[in-house]
Amino acid sequence: MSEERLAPQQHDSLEGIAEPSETPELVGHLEAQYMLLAAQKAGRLPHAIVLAGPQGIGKATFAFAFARHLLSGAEPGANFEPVAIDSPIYRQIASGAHPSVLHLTRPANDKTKGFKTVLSVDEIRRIGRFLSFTSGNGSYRVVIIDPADDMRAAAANALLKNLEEPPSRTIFILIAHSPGALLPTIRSRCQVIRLAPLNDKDLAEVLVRAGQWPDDERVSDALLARSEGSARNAIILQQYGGVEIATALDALATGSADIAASQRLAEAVSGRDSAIQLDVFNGRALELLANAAADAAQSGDTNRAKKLSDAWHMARIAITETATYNLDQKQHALTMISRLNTALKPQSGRM
Amino acid sequence: MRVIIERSNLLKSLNHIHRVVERRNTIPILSNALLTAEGATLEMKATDLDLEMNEATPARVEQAGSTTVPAHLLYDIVRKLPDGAEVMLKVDDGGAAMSVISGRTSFRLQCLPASDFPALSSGSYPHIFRLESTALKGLIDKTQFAISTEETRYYLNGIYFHTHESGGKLKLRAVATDGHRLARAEMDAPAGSEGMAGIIIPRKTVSEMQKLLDDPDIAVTTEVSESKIRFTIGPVILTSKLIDGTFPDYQRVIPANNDKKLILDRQSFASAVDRVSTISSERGRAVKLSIADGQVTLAVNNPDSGSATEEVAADYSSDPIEIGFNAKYLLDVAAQLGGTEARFLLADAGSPTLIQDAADEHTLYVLMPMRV
Amino acid sequence: MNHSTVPQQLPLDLAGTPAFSRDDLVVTEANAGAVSLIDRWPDWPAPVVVLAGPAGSGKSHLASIWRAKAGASVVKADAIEQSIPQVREAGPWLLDDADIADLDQNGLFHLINLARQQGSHVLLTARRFPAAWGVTLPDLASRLKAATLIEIHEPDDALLAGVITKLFADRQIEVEPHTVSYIVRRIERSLAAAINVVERLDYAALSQHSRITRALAAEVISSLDERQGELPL
Repeated sequence: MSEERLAPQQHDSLEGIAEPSETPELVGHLEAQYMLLAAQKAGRLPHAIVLAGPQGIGKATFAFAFARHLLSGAEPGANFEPVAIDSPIYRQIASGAHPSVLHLTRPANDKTKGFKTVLSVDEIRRIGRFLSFTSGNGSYRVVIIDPADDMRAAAANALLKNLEEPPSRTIFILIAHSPGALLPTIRSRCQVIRLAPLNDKDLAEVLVRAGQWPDDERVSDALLARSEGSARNAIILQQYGGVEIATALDALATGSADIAASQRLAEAVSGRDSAIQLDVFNGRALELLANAAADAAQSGDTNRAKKLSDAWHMARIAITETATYNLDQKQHALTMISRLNTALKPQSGRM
Repeated sequence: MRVIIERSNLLKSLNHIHRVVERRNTIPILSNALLTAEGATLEMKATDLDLEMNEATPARVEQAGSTTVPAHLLYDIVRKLPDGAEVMLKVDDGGAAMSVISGRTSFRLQCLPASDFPALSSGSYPHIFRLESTALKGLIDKTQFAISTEETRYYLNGIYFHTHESGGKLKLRAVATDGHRLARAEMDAPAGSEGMAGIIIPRKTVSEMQKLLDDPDIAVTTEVSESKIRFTIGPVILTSKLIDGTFPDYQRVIPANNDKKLILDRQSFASAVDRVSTISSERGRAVKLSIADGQVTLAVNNPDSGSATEEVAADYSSDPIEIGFNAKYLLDVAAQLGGTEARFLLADAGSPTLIQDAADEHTLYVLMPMRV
Repeated sequence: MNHSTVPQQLPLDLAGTPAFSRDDLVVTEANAGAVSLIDRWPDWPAPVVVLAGPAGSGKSHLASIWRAKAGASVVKADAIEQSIPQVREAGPWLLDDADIADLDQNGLFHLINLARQQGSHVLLTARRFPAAWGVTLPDLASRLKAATLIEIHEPDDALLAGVITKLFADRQIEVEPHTVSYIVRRIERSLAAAINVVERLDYAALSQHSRITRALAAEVISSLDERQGELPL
C-alpha cells in the first residue's frame, strides 16, 4: 500500500489504515458481487440496496467497489470491474470529489473539532440537492449512506422521502451493521444483501494487504480466532491494546473488586486519544453481559437471564449517554466495571 | 511546472473562476483550482461538482506541467500584488508546493495532485450552436429574475431553454417562473439547435453566465447534451450539469384571451409604484390598481401605518377593473421592460395578467394578482 | 377577520393533469381484486362484469384504465338505446353509474345481448351490486344474475398514502412520509378527497413559496373542514 492518503478522515477512522473508499481490492463477498452483476446484466438493478452484516467485514469497501464498477461503464462480468488506482474514477471517488457519488457519514462537529454522534438530517437533505442535478455524463448516480445505523428517526424519515420515488439511473447503498434496527419502511424499499463475516483465509488476506498481519504465528492464530471475521476487530485488537483491555476487563468483571486495577483500566480507556480503546472496552462489556444472559437462559435460569438482559440495556444506555452528553469517560468506565461485577456475580442463595 | 504571467491577466482569470469554488469545503481538492501550463497559455479550472469553469490566459511557459492550489488563497494573493507586476508560478521538484513569486514577494502554497481534480467535461454534445453574446445575455437577463429560490420545486430553480415552433419559424426560448410570475424571452433559433430537447439551466450557472457575458460582441458557442451544457465564451469554458426534472407546461398559464388593454408610460408607472409602496408592510406588499377610462389609481393600505394613493395617466377604454399586485413584482417587471410604453392585458382580479414592452414582441411576462 | 385583511398572492396554475395510467395505479388489498380483473382482460369469466364499490373507491379510475386498454366505447346509463346504433360495430363497452334511478333497462338488456353475440364485454360500475338496483325488467335481472361481480372496497390507509405520494410525485414534489400519513388520518376516506387535498396543498405551498410540511397540511385540511360547514343556503 502506498503511504499517500486520499480519503477524508471519518469518525471511525483507524490510524494508518486506508478508508474503504481508498481500498482498491475487494476481498471475498463473491456471491453478493455475482448477484448484483447478474441483476445488472438483466437490466434489473434495484434502486436501493442494504448491505447488511457485522462491522468491519468490508461492507463499505464493497459499496465503493460497486460504485467504481458502475461508473467505469464496464459490461458486467464475473467480478466488479477493477479500476486502476491512478485512474481519475478511483482517485475522485476516494477523495470524495466524484460528481456522481455522494457519500454520507457522520459530519464534522465544528464545536468539538471531532464528529457528530449521528448522521444528521441535514446530511440526508443533501441527497435532494444531489439528485436535482443530472449526473453530468449520463452515468449512474450513487448515494452511499455509511452507515444507516447512524440515522435517527428524523434523518430516516427524510431518507424515506428520497427512496419513495427515486429518479432513474440512481442507486442508494445503505450500509447497516444491524439491519434489524432500520425502519421497516426503509427496509421494505431496499433489497437487503447480507454479507458474511470473512473466513480465515480472506481475513488473513485483508490483514496482509493492510500491512496488519502479525509475524508471530501464535499471535496471528489468536487474532483470527478472536476477530469474528471482522478486519476492523482484528486491527483494533492488534493495534490498540485491545487484547489487553479485553483480558483486563474479563478479570475485573468476574474476580473480586480490585480498585487499583480498575483505576488503571479506566485510565487506559478514557481521554482524548483513547476513543478506540473505549469502544473496545464498551464492546467487550456488552459482550460479557450478553453472553452471560444467553448462558443463564440456556440453563433455564430465566430470573438471572432477565436481570442480565436488563443490565445489558442499562449498560447500553450508559454508553450512548456518555457519548452524547460528553460525560466523564473515566467515571463511566469505573461505573461499568462495578456494574459488571455486580451483575455477573454468581447467584447467592437458591431460587 | 514553471510559468511567468502578467498579474492583470492572472487576476482577470482568477476573478472569474474563484467564484465557482465554495468557501467552505470538507473535500480539500474542491477548494483548489487546477492550473495547467502548456504551449503559450496557463489554463485555470475550478469546480463545485455541479458547475465547472475553465479559462485560458496567455503566459510564458518555461516548463509545462500542472498542479492544484487553493483557489481563494491564490486569488487573494494575486489581488494584493502591485498592478503591472509579473508573477512567476513554480511547482517544486517534489510537486508538494507551488511558489508564487513577484518582485520581492514570495509565497509557497501547498498543492494536491492534478490527477485528483474532478472533471465534468468529458462526453459528447449532440447539439452545437452559436449565438451573439448580446442575444444570449438578453434571453438570460429578461428571465433570470423570475427563477424560483424555493427548493421543493427544484425544477423551477433554473431557466428552461428549449426550441419552439411559432408562426412557421423555430424560436429559441428561455422561460423562468417562481409560480407567481413568469418570464419568457425568445429569439430566432440558431442553426444547430433544431431538435434539441428542453433543458433547465441551474440558477448558479445562469448567474455566472450573466457575469461572463458582459463583454459585448463575442460569439458564444453552446453545446448541449441530455445531462450537460457547455458554453465557450472567448477564453472561458463553462460546463454545467442540468436540473434533472420536467419543466411544467408553462403555455397553459399564458393568457391568450385577455381583452382589457392598458398602456402606461413605464417610467412614471414604476416611479408611482415605488412611491406608494413605501408605506406597505413587509408581509403584504400589495398595491391595488383601479383602472378606469384614461387613468390608473394606485393605492396601498397598511393597517399599521397608513395609506397612499397616486394617479397615473393611462391609455385604457375597457370596462373599469380593480386588481392587486405585489409591488415588488410590478417593479421587477417594469425594470425588465426596456421601452417607454408598457402594455398590460388583463382579464379579471383573479386571473393572470400579461405584460409586454409595447415595442418588443419577443418578450412577455405573466403576473398573478394578489387578492386584496 | 385577519384573513380578509392580509392580501394573498395567487399562484400560477402550473400543475398538469395527473397521470392516470396502469403504471400509476397503486394496488393494495382494497382494490387488488378489481385490478387483477382489469389486468386479465380479455380473459374474462363472463361477458358482463360489474365493478361495485362506494364513492371515492376508485371505480371510475379503474374503469377508465380498462377503457384505454380495451379500446371500449362509453355508453350513458340513461340513454343506452340511442347510443347503440353508433357503437354497434365497436367491441367492448363501458357503462358508469349503472345504479342510477333512470337506468335505460331495455337498452342495457340489448347491449348485453349484443356483447354475447359478438363475444365481447360490458363493464358496469355502480355503488351497489345489481340486486339492489331495483331492476324491473325480468330478462335484464336474469342477465345481471349471470354477471361476474367484483367488489372494490373503501380505500385503506395504504392505498390513500400511495395515491397521495403518487399525486405529489406527478407534481415532482417529494413529501415526507409522516406528512402523508398525517393527511391520510385526517381526510375523508376517498380518492376524490385525496386528489382534492393534494391540489389545495400544492396551491397553498406555491402561493406562500413554502415547503409542504405537516403544519401547512394542518392549515389546508382545517380550511377544507371550515368550508364544509358553509352550505350555500
